[in-house]
Amino acid sequence: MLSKDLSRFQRRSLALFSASILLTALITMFTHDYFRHPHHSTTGLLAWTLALLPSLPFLGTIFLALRYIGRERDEFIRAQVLLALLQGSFITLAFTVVYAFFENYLKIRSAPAMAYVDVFLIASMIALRIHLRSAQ
Amino acid sequence: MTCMPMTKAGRRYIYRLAPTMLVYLVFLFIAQWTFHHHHPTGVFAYFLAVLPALPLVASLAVVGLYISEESDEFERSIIVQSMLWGMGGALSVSTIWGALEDFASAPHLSTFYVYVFFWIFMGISQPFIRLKYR
Repeated sequence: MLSKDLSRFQRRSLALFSASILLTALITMFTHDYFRHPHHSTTGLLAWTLALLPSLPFLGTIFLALRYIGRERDEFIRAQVLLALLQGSFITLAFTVVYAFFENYLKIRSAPAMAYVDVFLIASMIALRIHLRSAQ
Repeated sequence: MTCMPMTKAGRRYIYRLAPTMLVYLVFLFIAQWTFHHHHPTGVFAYFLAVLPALPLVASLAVVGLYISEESDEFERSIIVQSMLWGMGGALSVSTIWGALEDFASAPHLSTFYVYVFFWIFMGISQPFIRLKYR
């Protein structure tokens, strides 16, 4: 999929995905930096609004993914992307369930909630890569 | 998956999911009771901690089996779409809450809720997806 064979729509979707992921990283860094400052309060409406900011581009990513699946005309690629997303979902859910019980019974450190998105994205990307490679 | 004539694969899905949930309750009781009364350590503690998670992971495999066995293309598409909405919803909530936890001192929400939110959003999205095709 990462070749010259990409359609215009696929190229645009890929660019939008990359932009939203980059935006998530940038806003997260900005928010981290803001709250590290001792004079900035971590309570109140402004703090909650600022804390919500990094999740907005991620919500945009979900919207983009669903829009991509709905509009992709290449049935084969669409099926591969869907399968990879489902496998990514299964892996993420299995990871969270196992981690939750470790957290509960063994009192291990809580995983940052924003890390589940990374688990999902990495698992889905690896699954997609494997599917596309085995289909060649 | 409720309020509709059930396909063969749908029935198999229910027959597989029900015992999985029963096993979950039994394993959860065993783990809870043992941790409360015997305070296990080492490898045995890890084994006991992971025990109740196994049927929940199996329940995901049951859904995967349903998707692969469902011959009704429409029903399969509905389940796949609702699963994606379920995952999207669960990750959205965990991301928003994670940000509030990290930056705005919100209380910690157990990792287990990602699984719970997944099923809730999956259930909520199904009637809306069906509505789209009417």
